[in-house]
Amino acid sequence: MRAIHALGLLVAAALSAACYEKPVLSESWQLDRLRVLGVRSEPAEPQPGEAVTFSSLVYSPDGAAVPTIWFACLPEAASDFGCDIDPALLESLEELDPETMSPEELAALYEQLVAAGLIGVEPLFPPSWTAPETALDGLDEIAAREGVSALITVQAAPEDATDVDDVELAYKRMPISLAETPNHNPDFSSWTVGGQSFADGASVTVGVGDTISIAAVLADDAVEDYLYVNEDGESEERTEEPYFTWYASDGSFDDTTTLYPINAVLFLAPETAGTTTVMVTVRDRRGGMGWATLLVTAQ
Amino acid sequence: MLRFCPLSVALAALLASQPARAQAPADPAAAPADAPVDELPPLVKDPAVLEFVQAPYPEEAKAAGVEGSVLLLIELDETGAVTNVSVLQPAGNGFDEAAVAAARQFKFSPAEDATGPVPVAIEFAYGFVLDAATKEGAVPQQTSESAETAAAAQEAPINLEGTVVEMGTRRPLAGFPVRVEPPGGEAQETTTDKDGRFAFRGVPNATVSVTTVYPGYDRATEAIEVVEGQVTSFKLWVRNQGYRDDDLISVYQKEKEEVTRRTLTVEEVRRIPGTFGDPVRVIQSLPGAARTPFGTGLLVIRGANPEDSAVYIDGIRVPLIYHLGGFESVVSPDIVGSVDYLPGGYGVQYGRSLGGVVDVKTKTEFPEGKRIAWSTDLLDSGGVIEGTAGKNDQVGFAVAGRHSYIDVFIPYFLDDPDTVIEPKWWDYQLKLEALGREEGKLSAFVFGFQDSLTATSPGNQGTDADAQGALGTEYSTHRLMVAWEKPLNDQLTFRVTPSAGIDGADLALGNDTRLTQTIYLFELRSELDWEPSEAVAVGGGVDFLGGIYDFSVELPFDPASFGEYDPLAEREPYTLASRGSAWGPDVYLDMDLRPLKDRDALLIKPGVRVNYTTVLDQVSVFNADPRLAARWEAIENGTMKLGVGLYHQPPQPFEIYRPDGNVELGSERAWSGELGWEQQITQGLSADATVFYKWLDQLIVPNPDFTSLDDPYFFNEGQGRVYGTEILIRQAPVGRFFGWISYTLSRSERNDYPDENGDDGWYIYDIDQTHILVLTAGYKLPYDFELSGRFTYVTGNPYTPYAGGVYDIDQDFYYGYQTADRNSTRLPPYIAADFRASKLFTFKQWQLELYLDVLNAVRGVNPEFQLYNYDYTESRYIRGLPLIPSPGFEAEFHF
Repeated sequence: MRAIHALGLLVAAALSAACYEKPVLSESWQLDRLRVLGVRSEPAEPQPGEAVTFSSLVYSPDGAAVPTIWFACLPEAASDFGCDIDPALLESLEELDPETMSPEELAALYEQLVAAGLIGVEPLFPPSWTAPETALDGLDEIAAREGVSALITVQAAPEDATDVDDVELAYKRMPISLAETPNHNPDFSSWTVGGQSFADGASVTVGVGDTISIAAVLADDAVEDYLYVNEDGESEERTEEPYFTWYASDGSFDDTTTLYPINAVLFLAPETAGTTTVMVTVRDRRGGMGWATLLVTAQ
Repeated sequence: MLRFCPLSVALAALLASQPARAQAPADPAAAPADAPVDELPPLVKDPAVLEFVQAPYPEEAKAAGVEGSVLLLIELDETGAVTNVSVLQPAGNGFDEAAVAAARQFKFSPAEDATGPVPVAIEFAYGFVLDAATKEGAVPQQTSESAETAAAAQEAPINLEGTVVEMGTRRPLAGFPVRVEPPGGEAQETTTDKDGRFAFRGVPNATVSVTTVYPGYDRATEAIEVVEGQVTSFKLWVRNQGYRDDDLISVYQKEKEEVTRRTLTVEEVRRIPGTFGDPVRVIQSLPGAARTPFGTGLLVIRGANPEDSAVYIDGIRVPLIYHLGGFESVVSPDIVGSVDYLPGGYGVQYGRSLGGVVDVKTKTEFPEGKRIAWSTDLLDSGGVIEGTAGKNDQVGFAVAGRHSYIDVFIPYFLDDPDTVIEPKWWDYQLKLEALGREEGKLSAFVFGFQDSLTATSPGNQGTDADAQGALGTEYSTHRLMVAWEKPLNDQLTFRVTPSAGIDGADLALGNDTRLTQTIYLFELRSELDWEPSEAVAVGGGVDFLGGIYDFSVELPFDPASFGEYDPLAEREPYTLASRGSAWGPDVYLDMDLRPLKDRDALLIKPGVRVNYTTVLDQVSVFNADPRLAARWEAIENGTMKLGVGLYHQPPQPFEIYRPDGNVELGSERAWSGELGWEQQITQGLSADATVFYKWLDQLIVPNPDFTSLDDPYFFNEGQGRVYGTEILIRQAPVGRFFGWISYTLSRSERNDYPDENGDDGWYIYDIDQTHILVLTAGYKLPYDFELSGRFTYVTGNPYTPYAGGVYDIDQDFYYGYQTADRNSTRLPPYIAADFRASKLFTFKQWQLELYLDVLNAVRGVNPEFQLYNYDYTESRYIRGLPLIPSPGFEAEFHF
């Protein structure tokens, strides 16, 4: 009966969604604040002991480079929000004053942070990590092919950040496995705007208020077939089912997420002249990610 | 305790100016067939007038040619002596004083119920009517010639006859005076018999005037042509001045056995705005009931969860009482006889619940002949056919049904044309009642309903491939009940109510997640009452509830991964199908002890209910619930009431199910106590105040350390406490005005893990509302216009604000985090005013009521929820329902 009462609330929620004005809250596709939009590892699905490098897609309204701090951990060292980092260590970072510390003290602190999972501080130390040799200990052969998901935590904050609200915190999983068909990150090959092809990062010009079709074209090998061993020990061949998430700093979309093979959206350019940043990310649902950027100038 | 006789047994008086005269009492058979259920023992003998006193026609009124009718309330003691007379509906012009002075001198025979003479109060319409001659300014003089004519008429054959019939209801009216006046001839007078018929002899062949005048009815006059050698027959249609008054009497009734039972009359509550004419929804305007979001009608009673309160129909438990969205109950208002609302302290007849009880009683009385009613409003349409049938009208019946169409209107409120939200429901009821059986009562009731909701939003279904598709839910209930009551002898009465039915539920979330459940239910309630003396009564019963559950679950992934969910893990479809049973024979026993000489002065009611329940063959619980209730009429019209008791609620099946059967769960438990005072201030005005405290423990809470299916899902570890006071000041609908002030001051708290958190774990519960104030009022205007309104003020619900969000890149979703104490912040208060206006049109053959319900005509911000943006950095309120005008009509035919 509790389930039925829960349904009642569900109905209420549905009615509320149906009957009221749309919320005047910012929406996730709007690029109007500091955002960590994507993280990818290379390789996307390493084996234990394999070296991994990382990159991120960070949007900053003013276009400035934003410092990021990276941590990595295995699932047993993770909490609900990524890697579980000792609060005392974080507090010590907040009180850090390099000018008053000796090089030895800084080195000791760095070692302490590495032991806690620190893998990078951009732009000074690009993030990198070696997948732990022990990551798959205790797993049988089939489970090892499925692997485990390590957690990668990224914290982005402008240099002048003074408040916790200025900090963007995100986390992502990275499979570590002995998979027969390890995953690879999906990549975009180009943009197609109004029938014309453009490279990643290109700039296009449209009229103010125009509605244009924008397609993000995946590379030929972006959608992979792979083998999965099910609970009965049988190998199944599956195909990835990627999806796209669309962002813009101005204007609007008809859809803000699309499921492969739909890789195009209608974009309504702003009513005022200016340049809009359009971004798209793609996830292959196996941990792989890719992204592309397009600058749309309305005039 | 004083009780009221139905209006129809009140003696009506009709006075003409010269001379004043009294009419014969109306025949009790003319009582309204759909009078409300009387919770007190019925009167076996109505009071009868032994001595009637004629009131002088006020000279000033007579000179002005003014007529009038005064509605009196006459209170009688056990001997039939008049103890008090008050004016319920004044007429002015000196009529009120004259009528009261006369009524004080009346003498009645005592009214009696099964226990002997009892005090009663009767409504009495005292009419002052001028005859035609006086009206025309002529003083009638009876000459010797006219006397001879009158004598000759008595020897003549009947040549003018007819029936006095009430307009709209086609009810024959007994005891009505009928006067025929030929032009220039001698007037004749007679009175209608029990079938409303009248007849005159020797009426001159001419166009004559036939008139009837009766208190509470419009004067009716017809010009009838009397033809020589023929018997002229016709119907004299009379319009009632207050069609809906008859149903308001039982508002005074109080059931003594429960500490706090609020019995409502259907017609009273159907006039309250915001209820959509549904009497069950009025519960939310009474003390102890919390306001629920969007008026969904969930039963949140005295700080208990909705699922902790029980709903019964004629004593048989049903899974829910409202259709989708909570706009209407699952039983047609035309089938409902009364609604008992027991917020706490209820007796051993009810069990397996920690919260309140709502018991919807279906009607047991049916109109003479047949009645068809049809109603239509914004939500749905439905109708009822009811009446009596069979030889000597031995069977009363009612058939009703409704179907919604709110789904037709919803698209007009949606911004996105691709979004589909389709709530639908229908219900049906069939009630059969054997009437006039001296050997006992026998009835059958069949009812059922189905609700479904489909919701899709193609433009925004998320990114999870498994979540694509519609959200759909459908659930249904069907029941067959038979009730049989047989007095075995003067002291023993046996009752049995077997019931069987089927409940179904189907929930689909996208294309790959589905939950279906079917429950085949059997319930049997059997009671034996033994009343060996006036001082002692013993009651015992069995309340058996059993069911077989078939359920299946289809998920896109194995629930074993719940504990360490990984969105990147490969998914395997998971299907579970199982069958189980739950059953339990509860046994209860209670006593009514009336130790004082005045048997009504003190009632002590100890009782015990023993509960045994086996759920899904995995868990068996055994509990004994002792309870005690008492009522003491400490002063005249002032009653103290007390209730203490233990209540157990077995675990829900979903809390118990485990594939390995390894479950250790017991019943949730509540100790409940309340103390109150009821004061009848005047006949119509009463006040009721109750303080209550409830201690909850062994509450079932989720295992906070759950990481895999091998871990226990739930524990009996939670605690709770609910305390407060409820006040109800009520003006019963006597005369033109009714209304009440309902106020609840309460606090509901929980501590889910006291072993872990100690006293620091207490928090204000999610549905706690400190102040709940509801003002309700209605006023009957002339010409069957009626206005009513309701004002509501409720403290906002508590919530825990989010401090921010963390982005899960794989799921493309922000998870909010909270740093404040649980439920440390409240939403702003809810403030709203609703109005209702109605007008009843009465035609000869039928009636039509038009009404307009305006919900939230005045409203505050009225936030229902705090809505956050995607990353929890911004928030706004989801407001409650906007202004909703809901016009509707109800047509009623009698034949």
